[in-house]
Amino acid sequence: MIAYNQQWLSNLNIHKVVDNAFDENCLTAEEQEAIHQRYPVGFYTPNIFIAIGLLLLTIIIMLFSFGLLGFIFREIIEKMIGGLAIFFAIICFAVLGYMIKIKKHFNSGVDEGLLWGAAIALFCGISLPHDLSNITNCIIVFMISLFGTARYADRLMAAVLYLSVLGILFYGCVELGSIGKAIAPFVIMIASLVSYFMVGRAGYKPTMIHYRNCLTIIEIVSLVSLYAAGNYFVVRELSNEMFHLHLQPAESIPFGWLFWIFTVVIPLLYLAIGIQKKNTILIRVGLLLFAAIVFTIRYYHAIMPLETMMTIAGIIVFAIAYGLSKWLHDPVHGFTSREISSKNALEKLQVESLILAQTFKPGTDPGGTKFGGGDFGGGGASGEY
Amino acid sequence: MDDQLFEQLHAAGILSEASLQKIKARVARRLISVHWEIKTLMYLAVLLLSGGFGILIYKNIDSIGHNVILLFLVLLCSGCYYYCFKYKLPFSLSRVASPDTLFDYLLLLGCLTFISFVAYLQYQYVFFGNRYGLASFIPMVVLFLSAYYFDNIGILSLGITNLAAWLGITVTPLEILKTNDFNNTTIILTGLLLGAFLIATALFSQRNDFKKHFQFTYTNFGMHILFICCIAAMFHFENVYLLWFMLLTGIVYYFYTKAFSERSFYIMLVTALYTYFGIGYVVVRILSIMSSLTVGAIYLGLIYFIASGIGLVLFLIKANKKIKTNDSI
Repeated sequence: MIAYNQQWLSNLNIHKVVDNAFDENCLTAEEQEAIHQRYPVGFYTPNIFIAIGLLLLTIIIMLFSFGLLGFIFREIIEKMIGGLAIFFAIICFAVLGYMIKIKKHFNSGVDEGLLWGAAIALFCGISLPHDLSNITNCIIVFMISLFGTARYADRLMAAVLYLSVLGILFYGCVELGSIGKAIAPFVIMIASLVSYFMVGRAGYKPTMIHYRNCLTIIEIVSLVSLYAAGNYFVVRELSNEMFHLHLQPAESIPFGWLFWIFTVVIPLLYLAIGIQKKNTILIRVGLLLFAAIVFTIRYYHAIMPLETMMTIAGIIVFAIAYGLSKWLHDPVHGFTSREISSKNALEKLQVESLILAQTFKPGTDPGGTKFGGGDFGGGGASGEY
Repeated sequence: MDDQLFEQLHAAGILSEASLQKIKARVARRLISVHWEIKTLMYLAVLLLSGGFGILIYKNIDSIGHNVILLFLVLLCSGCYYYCFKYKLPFSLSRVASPDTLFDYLLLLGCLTFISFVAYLQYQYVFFGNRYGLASFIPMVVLFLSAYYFDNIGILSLGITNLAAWLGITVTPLEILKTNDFNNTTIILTGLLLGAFLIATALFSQRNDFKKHFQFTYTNFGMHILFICCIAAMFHFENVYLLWFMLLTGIVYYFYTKAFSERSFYIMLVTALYTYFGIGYVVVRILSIMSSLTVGAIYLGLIYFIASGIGLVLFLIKANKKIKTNDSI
């Protein structure tokens, strides 16, 4: 079913596990080399930066090719556009097959680009010429992404596949009428929960070994969608927008209190379970969603001025981070604040430095003619808010 | 699961008993590092604090009293720097690790409060008079000094963006194209000079082993500024665009050789993409001169972009093979 060489995929998995162990100094370089020799991988997978370049170029080539195709048929483009897109998708799939089978590309940017180009062209070719309902569109996306996930084990495809299922459920509920609309959040939550546990189980099956990355992505998205479907802000604003409830600013939704509980409890639950089970995915998603709690509460209840809250929150977060780094300096319950693998340490610092430069930007004088005309915004983040 | 794999490898005779035991021990007391989670939290805290203080000062500028604000900023700033001076490891011209996670973020907070302090001083008391340049020059110097003294690449990046701001250019990564007005001759020329200066600094630190690991940060900023300003110059001075194209060729050649000598995939990619863009512009210009055959020119243009795209793909694949020895940024 999978388009790539399965033996190589398995070997690649072995390489990953072994390289990890090597980074933690558990085996010698000779052993690593011997294992790589014994389990060869013949894929063409370039360095990440080259892959990004190849991806960009593949997109450029596809755009211009489609432009060329459209230009050739420019007289009859109005009637032909759907068929043209489908034709283009078929070409992309053919080239993709060639790149994988003959050129052995795997995660090279080229195969991802072609897959996505083909999928988008196929969807547009089917959907655009006809005025389809939301649920039909979701079903089309579902079928395309199911194919993309099953055959190419693409992570992003897997995420879209999962979201399309949620979309089908959601629009299905909407079609049912007022009761359906009322239970839509719960349906999504239950679906997310079911998907999370199913995916967790499936991860252990040997048959699913090539789909592990896809399953991890679905796991993460499930956790997020479970929270989003129960989040007060999402439920209130979405139902207000989509079902035309015309809520007043202070007005709540039916069962508002229930959604407030979900909003606050779910991330804390993720964190608690994550720490207990040593599950990094749960911990990270929990931390991320913790910010969502703050934003949701802050959106409806201005307890204190923003700047006071920012300052106090800053002090608290600083204290927590400092406390954690001291407390976990020597491992506690299997957690440590030290870095285990020092691989790519300098590279990580470079990336971090770019993020700093991005967030704490100095003000620039737009005139630029007189040298050095920084304004008050020169105060780092101070002038920006 | 992974346990089984290592057992198999051991049975096949390519994994020694000692290594297997090591791995088993590692699996038995699986350690999870929350190092980067803590770093993210600290970064978030600094973001919140410097932002929060900023608005607090801005909003209460009339009620608290200026001296109180200044005093507060001075206290906070010197507190941060005090910690840094106390706990820093001895200075060296090569890389110095930071003593702990807290250190980097207190240094960052200290630098940011110092910038706020100077800005506030200028805003409220016009401390530097009309010499506005000085008000952004001093923080820049402090940033560079801190970066070198405490060996911090993040502060160095802030220093470079401040240096550019002092010259009137934005080099913040995501805004370099958006914010700058590249129809302005001064900006283009200043940008080219700044880029050249940064590249020269990078060369200097590499050759003389003067904080060698800062080299990449200088190169990265310098490279993008040079390329963007050179291509902007091709658009802006359209009558002599071929002249600028020759300059672009020179820059491309420099970074092309640099990419190979340093085995840098990143520099290779950036160079290839800017080159593609520059040549594409020249080709479009030439095609637009042949306006008599419009349809043909459009066909030629489309086919050119497809063909050159494929050509560049093949080139990158080849370059990747050539560079590939060990991965680096």
